[in-house]
Amino acid sequence: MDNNLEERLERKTKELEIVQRVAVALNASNEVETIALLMLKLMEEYFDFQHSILLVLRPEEEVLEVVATHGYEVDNLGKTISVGMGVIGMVAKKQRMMRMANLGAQRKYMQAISKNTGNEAVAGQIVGLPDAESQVAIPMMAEDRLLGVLSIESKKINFYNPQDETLVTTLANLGAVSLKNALYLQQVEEAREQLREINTNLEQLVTERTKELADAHADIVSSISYASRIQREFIPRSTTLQDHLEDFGVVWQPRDVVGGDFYWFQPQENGYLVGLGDCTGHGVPGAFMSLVSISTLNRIVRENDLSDLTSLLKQFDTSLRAQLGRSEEESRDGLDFGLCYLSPNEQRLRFVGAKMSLFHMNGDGVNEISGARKSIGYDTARKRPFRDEIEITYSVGDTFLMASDGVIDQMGSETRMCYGKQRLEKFLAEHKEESAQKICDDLISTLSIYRGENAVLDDVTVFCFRPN
Amino acid sequence: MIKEEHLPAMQGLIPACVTTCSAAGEPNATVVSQVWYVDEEHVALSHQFFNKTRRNISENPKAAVMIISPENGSAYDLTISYERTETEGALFDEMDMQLEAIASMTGMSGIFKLLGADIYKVESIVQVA
Repeated sequence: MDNNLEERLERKTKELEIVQRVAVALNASNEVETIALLMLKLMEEYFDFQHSILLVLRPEEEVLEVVATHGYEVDNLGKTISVGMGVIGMVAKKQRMMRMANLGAQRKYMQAISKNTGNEAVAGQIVGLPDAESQVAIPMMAEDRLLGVLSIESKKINFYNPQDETLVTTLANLGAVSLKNALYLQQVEEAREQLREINTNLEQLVTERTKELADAHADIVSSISYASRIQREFIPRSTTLQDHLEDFGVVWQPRDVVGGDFYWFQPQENGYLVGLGDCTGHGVPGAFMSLVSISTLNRIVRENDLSDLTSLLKQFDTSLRAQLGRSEEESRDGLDFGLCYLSPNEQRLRFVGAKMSLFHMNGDGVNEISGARKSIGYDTARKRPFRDEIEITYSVGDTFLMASDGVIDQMGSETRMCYGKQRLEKFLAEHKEESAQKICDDLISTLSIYRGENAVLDDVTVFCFRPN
Repeated sequence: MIKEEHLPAMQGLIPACVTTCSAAGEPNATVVSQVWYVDEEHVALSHQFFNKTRRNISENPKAAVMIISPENGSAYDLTISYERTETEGALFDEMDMQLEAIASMTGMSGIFKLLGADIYKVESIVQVA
């Protein structure tokens, strides 16, 4: 083997080794700086390239920043060079490799010309050797995008040959892979950071919104609680009832804090009136309806003769319809209502109902006294007639009960059916000997068991009394 | 025509001497920093200023160039003939890039501009030393 061939073989072996070692480093690390430094050190170890430098493009500032250097007395790390400035800057600008063999002479030539032309030469940015003669600079590219520049330089004239160019180009390409990976990692990290920030903002927003909602909810609850107090003022007080009824029981359970059910009591000269209403809806709208209904009822009772309860009911219906029918739309508001007039001296009870029944319990059993099949209000029920009042005489110890829809319409969890009148009548038959309040309490307990896991659907009101 | 042994003399290490002659027979000799290798039949000279060389070439396209190899001191006389000027392409970019790189380092950016790459056909090469 001749010397030349031996030399070429030795060089190729070295090139392969250096490429292999850099490739191994690339697999082992994502750190650009670590890989770059290894590359530069290996270049000296294998080929005596004493001065080398690797710069990364910072596109937003249009500069290249030194991330690894080897063989310089001055610390170049972090120094920058503008794109377009000097050999390295020009390589970045044109994205083409450049090999210079006699930089010193060319600089002197340029300076001489500048003196002759009257232009004053100004020293440019120097990163690396100020008196370099030879330099090879290679752009590091990934998918047509410049990522950085790898440069080797020497104080010796014409130090690098075309084979050196090839080697540095190969290493620059390997370095570009590392840079690309680092760039991707950086982008992923930035995206993660952005996501983290968005998450934090979102959490903060949710906390703020939750607080706003909680505040708003607290306001509403407070407001409704106060409304409940007002509504209770319209419900008869126990003391008033006690003055006239020795044995009575009431349940007033709005589904929400306020509701559309009410019971009503008014003493008269020779007796008293007992009423129970179940207005459209429940909650706040129901409560509004109940207040309007109670006010209207109070007024028409005050203004009318009570000798004919049917007329009174009609008057209630007309009056309420007049109040609610102001809009052009058909009124969908109204109430079911039952009204009893008791005359204890005569042991006489007159009843009139609008979709409301009165249950009469005595020794014979339970008797339902039905009201008309129409409600008060509601335009749809306008043309149906009210029934004439029903008058009965009762004995001491007889018990009467009225209940809102919330009782018979309650869905059972096992039966999947409403509680219904039959169950109610059976319950009353079994409990009629109990005190009025116990009948009410037991009915609510029974209803609760019947309901099971099912939700309470409506307001529940029961008024039970045993006339003296 | 151009052989491997001539190439070291075309790396710009030792300036070259270019001699031209006007139509009236007035000669002009000047020094250029580099004679660029284009291919086996052609070399290129940078055109930066309008000077006597350019004026003479426009009248008489023939020129004589002496290049010296830094490796062994061998000197060659080339007889060349102007063919065309390139203002773009790989050769122009390479020459322009080098000029601009050096100019930017000496604060002469914008003053040293490559106007064109003058392409000459090589008619003969004679080793003179």
